[in-house]
Amino acid sequence: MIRQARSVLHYLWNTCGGKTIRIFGKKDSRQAVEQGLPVCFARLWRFCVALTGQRDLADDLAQMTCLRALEKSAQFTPGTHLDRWLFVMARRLWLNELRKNSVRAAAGFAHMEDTDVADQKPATETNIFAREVFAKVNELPEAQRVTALLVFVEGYKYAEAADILDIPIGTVMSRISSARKALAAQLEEATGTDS
Amino acid sequence: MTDRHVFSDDDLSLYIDGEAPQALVQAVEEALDSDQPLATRLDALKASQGQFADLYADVLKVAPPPLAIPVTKPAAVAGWQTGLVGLAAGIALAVGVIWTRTDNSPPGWKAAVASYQALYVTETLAGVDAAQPATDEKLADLSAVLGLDLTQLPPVDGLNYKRAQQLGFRGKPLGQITFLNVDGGPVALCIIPTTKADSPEITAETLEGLAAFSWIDNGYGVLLIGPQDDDNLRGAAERFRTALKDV
Repeated sequence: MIRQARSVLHYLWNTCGGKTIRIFGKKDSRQAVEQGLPVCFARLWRFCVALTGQRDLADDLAQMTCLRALEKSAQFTPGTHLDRWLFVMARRLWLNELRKNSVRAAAGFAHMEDTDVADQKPATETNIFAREVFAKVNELPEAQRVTALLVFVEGYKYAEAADILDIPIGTVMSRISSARKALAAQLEEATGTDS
Repeated sequence: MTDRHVFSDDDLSLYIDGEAPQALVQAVEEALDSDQPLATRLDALKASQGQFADLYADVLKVAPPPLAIPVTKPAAVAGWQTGLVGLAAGIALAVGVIWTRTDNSPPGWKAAVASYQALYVTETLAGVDAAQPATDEKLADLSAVLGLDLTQLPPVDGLNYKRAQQLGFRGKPLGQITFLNVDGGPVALCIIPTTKADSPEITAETLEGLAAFSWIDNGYGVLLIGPQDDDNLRGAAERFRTALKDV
C-alpha cells in the first residue's frame, strides 16, 4: 500500500514535471478571469453587501466567489461579461452555501449598525455602514434590495437583471416597483430627520 | 383624457426605468403636462431611487482593495521550476484578491492543527488506500481551492502519502496532506493562505508534543508536523519549502 501511495506521487511528479498542469481549464479563460477579477472586485463586493445585508458576510461571500471563480474559470467565456458571471456565482453561493447558516447563526438579518463592530465609530461620511439612512434602506427585503442594486445602481435592464438573478422578467418588474414604493415611503418618513 | 388615466406603481416604474412600451410612455408624458399629483408622485419615486443609488455608490468607495493580481504566465521554456513560477503567480491571484483585507488571522491556526494532529495515530491513516484516480482528483480539487498546485509536490523519502483533504480555519481553506513516516507515525503538511509577511526561514517548535516546522512564503503559511522522534522531518520540511518556493 505504501509503495502504491508513493507511486502515485512519483507518477504525478514524472508526468507533470516538464510543464504547468492545466488543472484550471483553458488558458484564455483563466487569464480572462485573473485579469478581470481586480477590476470587478469592488462591484462584486458591493453586490455581496446588497445580497447579504451585512458587511462581514459580504467579505466572506466575495472571497468565496473569487475562489470559486478561479476554480471554475474554464467555464467562463472570454469576451462575455465577467461581472455578470461573478454576480450569478455569488448569488448561487449565497443561496446554496452561506445564507442558511448565516441566517441561522444570526437568527435573521440584523441591521448593519448592529453587527458591524468595526464601524461603530462616530458616523462620518466615510462610515457609510453606520449611517441610519443606510440601515433603513437595507430594511428592504433581500430580493428587492439586490434587484434594486442591479437596476438602480448597476444600470442593468430588467432582462439582464432577470438573467443574473435567474428569475422571470415580471418578477424583476414587481420587485423594482415594490422597492421603489418602499423606499419612497421611507424617504417621506425620514424627511427632515436624516441628513 | 390622460389626466384621468390612473397609472399604477408598476407603470411608473417601467416608465422611470425606460422599460415601458411606447404607448405607456406617451400616456405618462401627456398626463404629466397637466397632472401635478402625478408629477409629484413620479418625483418621489425617482428621489427614493436616487437615495438608494447614492448610498450604494458610497458603499463602492469603501470596498476592500484587492491586491495586485499577478497573471499566470503561460508555461514557458522547460522544467518543473517553470511550472512552479506559474503556480506562484496563480497562488497570489487566487488568494491575493481575497485575503487582503480580512486576513488578520493570529497564528492560532498552527495550534489548531497541532491539536487536531495530536489525535492522529497510525491506525487513523493505515487503512487509507490512496487509489490513484481519487488521489489525483482530490489533490487537484485541493489545489484549485487553495490556488496552489499541490500536485507539483515532490515525493519525500521517509514519508508515505496517505491522503489530501480540505479543512478550514476561520473561514479560510486549510489544505492538509497526510503521510505516515517509516515508523508509522502520522505526519501532516498543512497549508493556509495568509497575508502575513513572508518568513521563509523554517521555524522549529514543539506543539502539542509534536515536532512542528513552519514558514510563510509567497502568501502561504505552511506547517509540517509529526512525531518528535522523527529525525527526517526537518529535511522533509526543507524539501517541501524548496518545492513550494518561488524559484
